[in-house]
Amino acid sequence: MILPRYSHLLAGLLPNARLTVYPDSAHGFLFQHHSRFAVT
Amino acid sequence: MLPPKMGSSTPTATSVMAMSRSSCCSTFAEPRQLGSRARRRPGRASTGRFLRQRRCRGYNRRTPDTVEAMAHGAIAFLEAMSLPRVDLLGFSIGSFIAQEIALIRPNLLRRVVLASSAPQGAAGMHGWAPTVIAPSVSRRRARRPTSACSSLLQTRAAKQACSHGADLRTNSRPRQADVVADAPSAVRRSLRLGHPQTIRCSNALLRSICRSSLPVATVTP
Repeated sequence: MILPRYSHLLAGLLPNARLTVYPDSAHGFLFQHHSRFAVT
Repeated sequence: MLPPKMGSSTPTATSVMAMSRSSCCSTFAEPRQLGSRARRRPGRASTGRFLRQRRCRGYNRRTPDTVEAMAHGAIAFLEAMSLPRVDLLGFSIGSFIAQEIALIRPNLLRRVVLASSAPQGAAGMHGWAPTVIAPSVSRRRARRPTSACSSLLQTRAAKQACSHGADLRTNSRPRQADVVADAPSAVRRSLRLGHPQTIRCSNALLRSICRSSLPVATVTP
């Protein structure tokens, strides 16, 4: 799995990137928080 | 992460792809873009069937072993589907592929969402993080059927929601797939098996993830 610090690193490297971190979740966060993921 | 523009922001790019695991994997496009074969079989997840064919037969049972090769495979797929411009959701290894596609063919993409992603060559990226893989391995030794879900999902409710699909998946898949199998694979498998309850569940998942009009909305129990 991929640790959150890499997402922060990637967001800093990409132009115009927007980073969203979901609480109390792991690699499958988008299935756990699917409603919030869809509207973000 | 949502880079707002990869090329010009024309509103014509409506297709959404969700990619994960090796090869091209799960792709969701509108039914009319899947050709006559898909149109003849509305309802049961024409997308899943279509991509299984590509993965097993199109590649002659060989899957690409580098992210770049996977990206070229995905680009070839988009070209074959006559999709000139897409919104791309890349999950896990799919997010690496999505980044590679953005580098190889930036005009192919309008928007990119990278989920559970990382930049290439980041320090410590090689191998598995011990803090992540250790609980997963110990669960597998305990032979719990929901091991794959447990390592993916954090809360008890989320694990329970996923566990049914995991049970279905482990019934007829190679054992070594259990550790790396993820939630999308459980969804795809349940679509193939046609289990009513799970298909309803995956409908809600896929609809909420992809937002736009998708063939999964037409899947009937």
